[in-house]
Amino acid sequence: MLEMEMQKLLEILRDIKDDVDFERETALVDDGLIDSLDLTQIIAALDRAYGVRITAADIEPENFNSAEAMLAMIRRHQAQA
Amino acid sequence: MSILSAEFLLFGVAVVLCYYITPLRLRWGTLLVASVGFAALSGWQTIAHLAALTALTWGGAWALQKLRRGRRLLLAALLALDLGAMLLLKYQPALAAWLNARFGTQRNPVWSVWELALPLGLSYFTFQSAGYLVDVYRGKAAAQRNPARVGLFLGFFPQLAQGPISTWKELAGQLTQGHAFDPVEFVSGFQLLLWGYFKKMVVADRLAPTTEALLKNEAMPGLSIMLCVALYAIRLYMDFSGGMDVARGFCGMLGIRLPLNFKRPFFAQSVAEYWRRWHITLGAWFRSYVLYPLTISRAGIALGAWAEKWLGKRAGRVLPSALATLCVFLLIGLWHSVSWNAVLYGGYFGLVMALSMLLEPLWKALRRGLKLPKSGWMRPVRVARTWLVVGFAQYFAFQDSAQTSFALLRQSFENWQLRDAAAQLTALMPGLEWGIALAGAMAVLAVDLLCERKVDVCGVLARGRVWIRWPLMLLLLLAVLIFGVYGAGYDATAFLYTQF
Repeated sequence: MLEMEMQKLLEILRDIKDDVDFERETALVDDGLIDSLDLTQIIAALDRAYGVRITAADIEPENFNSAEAMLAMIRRHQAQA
Repeated sequence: MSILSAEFLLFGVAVVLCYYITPLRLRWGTLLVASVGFAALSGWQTIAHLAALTALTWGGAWALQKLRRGRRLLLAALLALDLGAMLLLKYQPALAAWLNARFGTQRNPVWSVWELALPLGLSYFTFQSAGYLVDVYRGKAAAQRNPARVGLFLGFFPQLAQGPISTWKELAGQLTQGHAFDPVEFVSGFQLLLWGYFKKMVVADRLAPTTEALLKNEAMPGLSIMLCVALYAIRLYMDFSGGMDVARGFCGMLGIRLPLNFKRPFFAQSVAEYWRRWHITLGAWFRSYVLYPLTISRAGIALGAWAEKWLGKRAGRVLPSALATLCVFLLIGLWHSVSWNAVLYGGYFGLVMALSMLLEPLWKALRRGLKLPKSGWMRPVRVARTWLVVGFAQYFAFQDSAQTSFALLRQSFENWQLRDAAAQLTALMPGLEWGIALAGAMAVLAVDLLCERKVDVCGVLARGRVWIRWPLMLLLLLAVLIFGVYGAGYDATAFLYTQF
């Protein structure tokens, strides 16, 4: 289940930016691997795929530094809804 | 009081001494007293506006934290007051002039202009206050109990005149926590301060006649116009980043780290990167509080989904960001002044950025087709391209009249006689002054190049051997004292970025 969810997220991320190793990187924002343009595209894609409303308050490096962190944030939002 | 004046030197020395003789936990009080004094010396408008804004920000943040309902409405009202006061003060002369020209007559003006001096650093502390309120609303910062601490955050004197624009998270804690004397930080702060004075007084102010020549509207050979416009870009960098180095260096001597505002922008590989390196804190402010909320709003996301259907996947996805970027740059342009040139300047950068986002797949295909390498010789080529794009914008940066800008642009391509250009430029200032300015600029370039290669020049010197460090610092001090430009009463000329 967890594995499948992760695969789905990785697919979404790779579709936006294909030259970043989203599976292994843990400092996507801090190392500048994704910029503000990528970030806004990711948020729009997550909004559509998971129906979660990510706001500007969620835009913190720790929420987007890795695929795992993004998944955790999505879960938090789903639990709140 | 300019941070370059002789009075500020005395003031600064007094603050440093008082800071370190006050007990550790009261050191923030010294900063508060100094900041109130500095604001009071800058004019009653500054202290009055800061006091009112402190009350609004402190009370507003508390209410935002306490309220369960109506927070959004309250935030909107607070921001309207906060930013509205700035907009009114900044833009009322232009607005009044426009209204009077349009609807009034000379005898019966619709709106008589208030002759008010702008508070020093109005937009910098307004942006800090608005940022803090939004951060409290977003739950990223806690409301501060003590209004004096909010006041210190807004009016902290080293950054009052030109920024940087700090977030609450970056600065507030550092200000209120007392810092023990650390000799390495103190020395590297002092080095940075001297370096800032060097950039400002030896290079930027020496180059002032080249900008003045452009503003005189006299016929000039095309080649000299282009050179003077390029030198304006360099002068602005030396002036603004020099001022930042003075402020950051001074704070470093107190153990306080202000955020970086310039990261060697002229080494940027693209215009987008240039804007991530130039006036960094202003860009970060607009990104956090304007660009992101616009792009990921419901409307932004719906627009993206709609555009994806009609324009294709990539273009559709980036369209909201591209449009928001255009808006942000128009705002940044208008932040500089209310004029057609400001619109052209902001619109130009906005369009360049938006187009580069939308056409990215095309560039990628082109790069692949032409087999252009990512690194190697393409790096300097990309830097040169950034220079050209940024340099062109300078035509619209140093004056308000679009007509004059276009005229200058046209003249740039007329009369490319080398001899005429040389004669005009040497008439502008003597060879010795050119020599000092250019040698100074080369020294800054060399240090920037080292930093770009990840050499921590300041740190190496501060920790380095005494017999290397002190002669070098003495040399720098002498360079500032001997080669610096002084105005009336030994004060340097005003910074280009203080009127905001």
